[in-house]
Amino acid sequence: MSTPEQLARFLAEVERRAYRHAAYTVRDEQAALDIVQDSMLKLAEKYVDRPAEEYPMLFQRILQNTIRDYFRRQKVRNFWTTAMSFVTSGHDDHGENGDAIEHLQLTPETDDPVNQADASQRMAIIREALEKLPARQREAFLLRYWEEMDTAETAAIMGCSEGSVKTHCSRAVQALSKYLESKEITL
Amino acid sequence: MNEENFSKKLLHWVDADIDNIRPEVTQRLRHARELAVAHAQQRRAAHFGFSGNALHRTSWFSHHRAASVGALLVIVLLAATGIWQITPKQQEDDVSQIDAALLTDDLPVHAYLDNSFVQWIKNPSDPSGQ
Repeated sequence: MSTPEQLARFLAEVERRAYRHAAYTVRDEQAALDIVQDSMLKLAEKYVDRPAEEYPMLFQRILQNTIRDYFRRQKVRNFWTTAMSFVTSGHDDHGENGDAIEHLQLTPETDDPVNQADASQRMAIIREALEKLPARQREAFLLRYWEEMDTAETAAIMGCSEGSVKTHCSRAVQALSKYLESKEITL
Repeated sequence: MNEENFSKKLLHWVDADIDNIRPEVTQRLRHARELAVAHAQQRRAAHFGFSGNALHRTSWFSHHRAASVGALLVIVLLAATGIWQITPKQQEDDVSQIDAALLTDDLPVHAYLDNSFVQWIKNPSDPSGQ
């Protein structure tokens, strides 16, 4: 049985990576922060009694589910946004209802320092490449290689077979490599 | 370049990207973490509070097992003795009441009509025996 101190230590270790992971996926800073916060609370609420060794797997599963929930909610919001804009066609499209769609666009980070130096440019392109990956490929790639989960753990978190994980990872690497090549980036 | 090598090199950059997280974001993440830990502490305290009481009760009984069993036996013994004492005495009282009435010739006529004097014993003043 773990202690709240162990939980605090674990969360401190993973919070920034979790945020980046969520941000690559939802492409929205505030949404990514909300997702990470929700995931932390869910872990604390439901799994605080579990051994600390189980935290990485549990947290990743919660994080992925929370990201999926976010997209589900977005889908519903987008449906109603489309329906409303259809009903009120001819009205100003830049109202509150337009925000949902804007959330899904790539928002340029004007205050991000990643635009000056060469390294920063490279980093921005890599980030872009990750964001452009299909959701399942990105999920598999980040879990497998960034979070260093094995194929079985990744499959358990994603709710698919190990074969699918391997396929997603392979395709993700191909897509990333192709994108970086097109931007003349060599690793 | 194989899949693993490529991933390692790419993720080296992704790792470095973590350091570019703005301080406001880091601050909010820290706040979220503290909130989660506080939540966990509350849950843990509640859990241990409940278990602690249960444990306390269990340990009290295990430490005082002999006394508990002894007290239970004394209660059972007293109850049994009480029942044994009261029941025959009540019957004896009834019989002696009838005997006294017969000897002193105080028994009214309706009492003889009452089978086993049951009604008369219940209410001796009632001539109908009801």
